[in-house]
Amino acid sequence: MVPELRRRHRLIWQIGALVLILGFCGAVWVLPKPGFSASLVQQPHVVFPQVLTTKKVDEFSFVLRGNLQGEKQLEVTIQKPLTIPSAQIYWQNNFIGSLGSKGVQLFLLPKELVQKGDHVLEMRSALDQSAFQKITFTLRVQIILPYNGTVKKNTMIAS
Amino acid sequence: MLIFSLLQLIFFPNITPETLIIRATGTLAFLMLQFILCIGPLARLESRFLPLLYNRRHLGVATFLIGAVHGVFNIVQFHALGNIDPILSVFASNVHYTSLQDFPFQVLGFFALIILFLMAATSHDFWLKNLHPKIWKTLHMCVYGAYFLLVFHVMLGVVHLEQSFGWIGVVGAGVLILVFLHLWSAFLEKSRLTEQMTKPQGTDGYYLLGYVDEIPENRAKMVFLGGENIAVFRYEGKISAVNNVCRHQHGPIGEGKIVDGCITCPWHGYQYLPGNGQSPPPFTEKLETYDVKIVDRQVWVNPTPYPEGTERAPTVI
Repeated sequence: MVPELRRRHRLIWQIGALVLILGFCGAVWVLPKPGFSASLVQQPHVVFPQVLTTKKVDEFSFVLRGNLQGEKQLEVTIQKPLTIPSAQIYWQNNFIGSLGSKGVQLFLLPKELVQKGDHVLEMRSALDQSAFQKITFTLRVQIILPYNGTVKKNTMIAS
Repeated sequence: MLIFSLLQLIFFPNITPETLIIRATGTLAFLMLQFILCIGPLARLESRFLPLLYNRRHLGVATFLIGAVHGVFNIVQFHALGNIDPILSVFASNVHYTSLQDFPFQVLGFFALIILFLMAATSHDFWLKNLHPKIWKTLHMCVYGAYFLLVFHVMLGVVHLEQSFGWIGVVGAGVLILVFLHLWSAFLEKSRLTEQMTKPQGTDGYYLLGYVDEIPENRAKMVFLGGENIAVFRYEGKISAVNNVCRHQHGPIGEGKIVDGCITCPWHGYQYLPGNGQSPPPFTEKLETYDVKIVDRQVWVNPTPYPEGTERAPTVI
């Protein structure tokens, strides 16, 4: 091997040693914890108890859920693998998360995006942002009257 | 691969044939590349590994073929059933390019496979002759880039999916061994070169190489003098000096040995006659030759080269 080639090899491996060791340590550092998926990091782990409405469109099932604190949650069930390589979900034109593979996924809906009236949910391809599924949820306020006749709480219901 | 497949069947009895093929070929290709990259420094550190150099090119092509099986099965299994082009899907199915944790590791494997393909496709001497040797060598040094990509492909792929400390240990040990071997052999080489630069010079333009007995029979001692890379061979009671750079791929002639009366390059077996530096007919490659003299069993070399293929009578010991 000519000295010039030797010098190139030496330089490559000096830089390579640094890159490989730093990269290796970085990859170990960000190793996911068991049972935790980073792609679902924004998604809640607790299923809210109250079912506000359910919808089924093609291979998707949607359940809009709520809890006693008035928070809302969207449960999406994908019954067969998506043909879109990377799909995102939008609520009222706001990105709320990426859709994973087949299965049940939960998305927390920001309070300011869940008001009385119609709400549009769109599923878009991450590649060209084209919507391949569009569903409308209508929310209205229902007043629950307990037995003593006094107004206890305004509860949002959906259809 | 058979052992790996059997272990997979034992530990994952429900594994599908496609997944088994993907895992087995991916593991084998990575291990083979790791081994191939160890051959160069090992051969420089220990001459017993020199025969491996002859087969490095074939191993490289085999590695590409096994890696290609891994890649094709992956693309078919994970990307061929969507509504976009499978190759495009490799790049679009995971778009977390700014996240180290979720980085699309398949893309890294894809580019590594492209590099291995280019190397395998141009591995024949036809391409060495038709591409400029410098371009050819640069292209083939991209194998280091392919290895770096594959380390991260494995780390961000299988290690993150399996979350296995065993895999981390295997990959980490491989990386450390390879980095150590390359840097250590480079360090020794540099030390040797520095030592050669300070060889004592006689008044007649000759430099002292050392004693005759320091050169093993049918082997050479290499020296870098006056900008000339020289290999001094001892054979049949004689000493001859030729240029140390093989005309084929710039391999280190002096790390080879004399076989059937011909200096044989350790890389791909190109041969030259020690007395005149010419390849035996019908081959046409030629090396520069140098004058050598022996005084009190000390070998002296004159680094002024004679034109390629010039006959110089060997110095009798």
